[in-house]
Amino acid sequence: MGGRAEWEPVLVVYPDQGNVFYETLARRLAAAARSSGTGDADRIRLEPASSLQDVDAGWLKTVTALIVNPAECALSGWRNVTRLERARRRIAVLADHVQTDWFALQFDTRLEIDAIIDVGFVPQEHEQPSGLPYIFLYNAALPDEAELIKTQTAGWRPLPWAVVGHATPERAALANDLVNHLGGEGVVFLPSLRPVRAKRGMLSPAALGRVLSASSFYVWCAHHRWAYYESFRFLEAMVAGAVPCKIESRHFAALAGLPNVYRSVPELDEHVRERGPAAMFDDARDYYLARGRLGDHLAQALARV
Amino acid sequence: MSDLACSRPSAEIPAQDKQDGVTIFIPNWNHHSFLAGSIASAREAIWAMASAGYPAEVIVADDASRDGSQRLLRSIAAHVGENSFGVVLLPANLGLTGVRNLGLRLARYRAVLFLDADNQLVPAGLPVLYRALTATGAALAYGNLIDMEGNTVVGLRSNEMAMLSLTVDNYIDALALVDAVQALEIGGYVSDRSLDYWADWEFVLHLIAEERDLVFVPVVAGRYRRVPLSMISDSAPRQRSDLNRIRRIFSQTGTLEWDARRVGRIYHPTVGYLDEEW
Repeated sequence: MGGRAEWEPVLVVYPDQGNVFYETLARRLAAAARSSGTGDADRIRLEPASSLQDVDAGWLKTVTALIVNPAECALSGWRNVTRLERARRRIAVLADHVQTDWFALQFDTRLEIDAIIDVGFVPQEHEQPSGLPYIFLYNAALPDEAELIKTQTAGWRPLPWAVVGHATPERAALANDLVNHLGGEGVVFLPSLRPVRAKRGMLSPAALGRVLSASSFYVWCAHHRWAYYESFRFLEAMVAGAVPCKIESRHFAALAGLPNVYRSVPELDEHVRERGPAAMFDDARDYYLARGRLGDHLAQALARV
Repeated sequence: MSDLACSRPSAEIPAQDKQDGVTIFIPNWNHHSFLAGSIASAREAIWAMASAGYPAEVIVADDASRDGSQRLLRSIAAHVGENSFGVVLLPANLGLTGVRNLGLRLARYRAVLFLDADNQLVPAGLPVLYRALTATGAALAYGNLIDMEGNTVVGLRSNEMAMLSLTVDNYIDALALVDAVQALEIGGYVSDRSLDYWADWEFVLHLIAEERDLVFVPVVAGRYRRVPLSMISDSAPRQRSDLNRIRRIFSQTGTLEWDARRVGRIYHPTVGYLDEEW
């Protein structure tokens, strides 16, 4: 890795009616392509799904469309999304476990998809049920993210831990365990399930960043029953200098090799007492920064399509 | 007014004389078996307040229970014997809202936390709520409550900011920190006892209608015990008819009269307001 890629025209499309999470992913993909390409940066474009009518039809015929979460893009209307039929090829970019309902919904948009790019830390090729060509994209850091992570100072902070997501009984139990083991001063933001968007009573990415910048540990558990590692939570923690910690009691072995994964909160507590947050953050940093940059991984992934 | 079994004076304290700090007020009606747990958590919470440099007290008011609660409370009061712990034994039943209003008047401190006798506080959460209430000037600061059935966690409540959906149903429990001065200005809890079941909701909607600020503080404030035959679970079917009374008062035109920006905020004293930056 590390060579400069020759980029063909790429259009990254994101849903502007659904979760802001997917917009963030799309912006990172576009930035990754621009950061590693040799050609004209204008060949890499980023568009919200609601603006696809404005994209030049001639140019559209030449592009590889990276459609981040097609199902949520469809919320902007079929007329917009079906315009992507003119693209040279259409690749769905997803970041979910492949056996969840969310993943299955992606192929119910009437749009012909040529391949899937799955963004994460652990490949899921053998589990994915769509029948489409599958390409794994390791969710590595952008150059500026890597620089930020290199300079972060982790340790004991004013907030011992933070749990953020939508409310489930499992996450309520996680919060209860954290109160019992790591202290009652942690942040718990677990509203009912709804899109993470403005005026919805949800934390913006910037607000989440401020919470995590004051937190020692960012702790989460899955909201489904499958073995999965939420790489974006890892990244959110790392750029804020918080230690990413996943609690996974059912599928612990499947996540072996990833830093700071625990069967239970008592096991996390024990590790915290042994190592402390600064060393735990270093473990995560060493793991992550040794795995290249997102632009290089993306170039390799597109070469495989 | 009442029998008293503690060293803490039981006189009502006018709003202008209330001091900075927190009064944890525990209304009790026939919750003998839960009292020891709620009182222990409240006393731990005032220690957490003291560690953070804030004064606090606990008042337990028994609302003419029939289950022997008074005897237990006299025993606890004699054992504790602190000026920061008081027990009020009411000779006749006032009802939940009447007792809570009494709590607003008896409180030595301006911030009053209402803790139903079958619930428990997470002690470390109280100083965070208090800092949020004082920093924002809100009338009400509340945090997450973990729902328990026995020793099992089954969910959350009071887990998000006040939004327009509050006109449809309530999700903010009474276990919250109330600015007694602002609460007394608007008349406290509703005096109509037929609305006892909806009193928490009516109080929140009344605060919003009076353009008082509510802040959700993303911290665990307490544990809420879900028990069969509690007032909420037992009386829901027969009180449904009063639901429309609440809606008629506060949302006759749906939510058209609500100013979304004034309904609720998210605030944590360590990081500030969290509902902006979109």
